[in-house]
Amino acid sequence: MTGTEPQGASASAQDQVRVWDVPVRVFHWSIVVLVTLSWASVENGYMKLHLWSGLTLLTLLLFRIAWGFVGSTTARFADFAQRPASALAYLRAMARGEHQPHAGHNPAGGWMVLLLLAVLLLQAATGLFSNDGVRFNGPLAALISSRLSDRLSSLHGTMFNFILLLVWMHVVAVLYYRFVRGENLIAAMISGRKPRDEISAQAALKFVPLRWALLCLVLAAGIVWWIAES
Amino acid sequence: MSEGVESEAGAAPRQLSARAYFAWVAAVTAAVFAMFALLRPSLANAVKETFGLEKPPPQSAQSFYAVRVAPILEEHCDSCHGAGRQKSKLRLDTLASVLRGGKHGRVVTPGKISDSMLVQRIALPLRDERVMPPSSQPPLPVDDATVIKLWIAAGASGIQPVADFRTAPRPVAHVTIVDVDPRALAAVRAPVASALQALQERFPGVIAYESRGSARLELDASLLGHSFGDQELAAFAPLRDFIVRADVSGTAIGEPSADAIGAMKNLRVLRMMDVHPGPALGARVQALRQHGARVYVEQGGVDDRH
Repeated sequence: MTGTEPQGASASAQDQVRVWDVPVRVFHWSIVVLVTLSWASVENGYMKLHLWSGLTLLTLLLFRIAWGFVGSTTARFADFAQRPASALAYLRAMARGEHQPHAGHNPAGGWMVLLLLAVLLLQAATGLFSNDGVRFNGPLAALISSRLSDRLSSLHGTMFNFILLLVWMHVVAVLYYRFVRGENLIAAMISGRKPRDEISAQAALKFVPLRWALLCLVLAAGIVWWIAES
Repeated sequence: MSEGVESEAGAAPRQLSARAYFAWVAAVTAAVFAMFALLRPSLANAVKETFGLEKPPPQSAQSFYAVRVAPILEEHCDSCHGAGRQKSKLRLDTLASVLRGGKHGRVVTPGKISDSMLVQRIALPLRDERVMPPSSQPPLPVDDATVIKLWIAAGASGIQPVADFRTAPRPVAHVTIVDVDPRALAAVRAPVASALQALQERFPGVIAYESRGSARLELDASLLGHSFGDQELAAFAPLRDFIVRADVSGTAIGEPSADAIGAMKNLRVLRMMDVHPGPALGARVQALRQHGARVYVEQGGVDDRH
């Protein structure tokens, strides 16, 4: 894979360093929109919209998993999926007021990302087998018994509360950085840039060209289309 | 972790201590939860129901709701909004729950059809995915929708009598078709089958089963007029226990048929228009009346002395 660039090359005049690539940022805010849309649509009985929102969400999740292996440095699981002990050590250091700069996800944030990805993937997967008990059946609901479909539907509904809890934790953590540590992670996830002093001095970030992300997205969409059509 | 408040003029935002931040988080979270709980109708409903804060609406068994509305809701809504299942946390199987509403709030606004979600959802086009009953279910008949609308427009009362709704569509009579067990039926009919067949050949159209699933017989000799007399009626003696209706109006039967008529112990209806019974036949007819049979003997009218 080609098209890498060192972090220093993208530093702006205000000494901002590019840390998040476009696919990661678009993925992040798309998830925000799609989770909200999925919730609003099912609450108001728009099941077709809920289905399309869920399938799009699943597409993006599959894309993100692929991007976690082949994407830019900060997008890769290898960059932020660390041992639980590392996450605990990071949290303890943060509690002591120590500053450990990270270009991408810190060890604790990395676990939050993995957890959110896993739960959202499970949510989308159970949605495929769910039914609303009236007239809506997920694309794969016919492959299992109606009793199992009912159980997965119940799990699908209950798990949303867990997603809400994770979202709440995520927002609390992000705002903690904003108001206690003075680091604006929200702005960074919009612009893709962080102040140089907030990232590790040794960070050497590589960015993968957008065409590879598009390829991953097309593959993910193809898989979901195949699932939906089956 | 920094304590106290820091501020850099014109650049960095005002920072909080970790303790202050988490105090804010706790307060905001609690406020959001409280607001959510107050605004979420299903939670408010659960609290009202649990603690008995809701006074049950007055109800009458003869009200328009009980007689006309509740059966419609039971037939079309109960599978998803009944005791066993409550989609959108909505139950429509009791007046209290109908008036209380579900997850999205009230579905009935007494006196206001257009504000009632129940009416809005049943009025949607059948292709709309939010239409109720859902498109996979039989659609709500127009008359049933009218009944619901009339009830809501009149205040969604649980005691307003049926008589107050003179413009309501008439209720539809429900007919139950019972499956016939051919073997069982043949067994019941067996004792008279051959005699019946012989009499049907001799007197076409005079004797037949009461219905396709019954062994009871109806005898109608009225069309034969005076060609049907005591001798002909006597021929039906093998069937006497199975005949439940008999019409011998205008026939030539008289006193000799007293025993034949009297032997029909299961007779429920006897028509004898233009027949003039003598004392013996009259006594048999009187006995039949005493056993509950309806007997028509007068010319052009019903003898309803019983």
